[in-house]
Amino acid sequence: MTELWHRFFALHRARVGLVLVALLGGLAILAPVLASYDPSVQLDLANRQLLPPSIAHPFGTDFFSRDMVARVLHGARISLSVALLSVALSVTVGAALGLISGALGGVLDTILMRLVDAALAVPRVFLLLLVLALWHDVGLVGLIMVIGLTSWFDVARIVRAEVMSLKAREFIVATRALGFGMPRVAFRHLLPNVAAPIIVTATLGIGQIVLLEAGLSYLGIGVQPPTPSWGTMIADGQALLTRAWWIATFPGIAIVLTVIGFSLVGDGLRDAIDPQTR
Amino acid sequence: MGTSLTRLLAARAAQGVVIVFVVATLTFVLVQVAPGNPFTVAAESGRVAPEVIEQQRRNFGLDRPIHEQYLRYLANLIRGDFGYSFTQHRPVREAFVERVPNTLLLAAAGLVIMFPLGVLIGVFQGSRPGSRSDDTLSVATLVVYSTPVFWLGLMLLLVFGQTLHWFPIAGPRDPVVYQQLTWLGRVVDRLRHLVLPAVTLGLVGAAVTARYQRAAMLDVIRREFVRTARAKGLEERAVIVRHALRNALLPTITLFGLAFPLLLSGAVLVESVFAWPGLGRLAVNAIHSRDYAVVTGAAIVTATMVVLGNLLADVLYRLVDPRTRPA
Repeated sequence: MTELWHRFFALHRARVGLVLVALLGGLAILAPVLASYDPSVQLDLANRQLLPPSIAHPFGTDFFSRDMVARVLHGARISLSVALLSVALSVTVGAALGLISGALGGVLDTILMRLVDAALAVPRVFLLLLVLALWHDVGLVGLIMVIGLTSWFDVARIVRAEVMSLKAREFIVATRALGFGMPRVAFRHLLPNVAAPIIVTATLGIGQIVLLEAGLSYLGIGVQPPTPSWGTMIADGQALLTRAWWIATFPGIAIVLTVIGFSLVGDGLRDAIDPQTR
Repeated sequence: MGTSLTRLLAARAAQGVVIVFVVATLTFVLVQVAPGNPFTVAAESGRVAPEVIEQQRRNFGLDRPIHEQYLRYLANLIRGDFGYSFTQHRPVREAFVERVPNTLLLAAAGLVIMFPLGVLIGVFQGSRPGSRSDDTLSVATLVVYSTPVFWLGLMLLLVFGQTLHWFPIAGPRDPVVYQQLTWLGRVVDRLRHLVLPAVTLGLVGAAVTARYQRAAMLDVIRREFVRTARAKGLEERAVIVRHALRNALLPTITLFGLAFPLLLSGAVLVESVFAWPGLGRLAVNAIHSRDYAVVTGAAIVTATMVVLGNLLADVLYRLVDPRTRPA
């Protein structure tokens, strides 16, 4: 484990990614302390509407005279929480089903994998559009559930493939031969050995879900106002693009930095775990 | 090679049909377990008499037992009947026939930008790994790959549309002068409208392709046959193009199949940015008005497109790779 960390920290990009993620996480946690204004308070509709970036408002103000720094910082809390919780859900479901499917095999495996094939064939946004159309106004928890429960397919497939190859290995065959049941073998021996690909997939998944949530919120079917979300801020800024470029610009930069951070950490973890891939 | 390729195609097509069937069934199940029904909105509004709604339910067969509904739904799908759109006041199929070509045009244009550009960047990087230009391009592709496609679109729109006025900012054609243009003028007008949305979609795809292609190049370049080619005294250019690239392009063909979900998902967002009248925008608007038939139909249609794209990639792969080329 320590060797892994050494290899991880030896990678320049992984360090950059870790710094970015730590910084963004810190900003998100400390948002209420750091922001000088409340993200949803309309400061002064008459005099402080659509102010360009300045010392008082480094990211400017929006159409409702709200401070954009406060909105972007609080947006980080929402985006990161949605992403982390969705990934936690999708990885748990995906790993469990992949493990069961790979360990047990048979009819269950066939059915499950056909379902995964089909689910992966529907472009993700359309799948989410479908679910969100049917369960409209789901709220923040509902959104996390919807994203989490439509994102486990590739995790399941990866875990299943790993389990299938592990099952043929001697130590698993030996454990089975000793008379241990499949559940014990699956959780005690298979799961720890597939932990690495799961962690890499999860880390890379966080960035992808930040993008996904931003996209849904931009389309007006993700996080609902007045909850501050980067995607909805960009949608708000779209209509005012020529008059107030800052409204759409800063939340976008925040998204890019977040996704870069998690991508670098994910890539770094993958390279540290398996130095063969580069 | 004719018969075995045909057999392979038939097998893959059968798999594809199974996938589309499962998607259709999943969609049906989702609609069944979801709260409410297609008439909930009308009923809640209070403007429609309960008798009318009951009549409509009977017309659409919603009063029948569930297995009958399911069979009827499948039979309708096979006939290309996706139901009736309440907001469009016409069959969903008609709306699709109008919108799908626009989405396909956008996706195809994105594909045309994505692959050549991505392969070029990836090969360039992969042939000089660790160099300064490799590092710079790696950072550039990482940034583009991490950029939300709709935000990239907005930024391109801000710079090249609203500030520089190089390209129109919305729609598939000019709403005023298009009718007066000659056919050549119409083609030019449509192309000019296509540039920004297609470049937005293509750039993100190119970043993904470049990352993939670079890895494939690095994987090939350390193989023995490349070392042999170098040892033979071949020029570096010939080594890269004739030996490394030919092998490193194979994984990229697989990416071609994966590109379809990416392009279609991206198209949903890009269509909203540029007011492009495609399938994605239709589906998003349908959500806001809870026009279920459109959304379920869109999911099935896009899944079919993805399956067809994978089929195409599969056939291409078999044709290009001599190891899998049927004898």
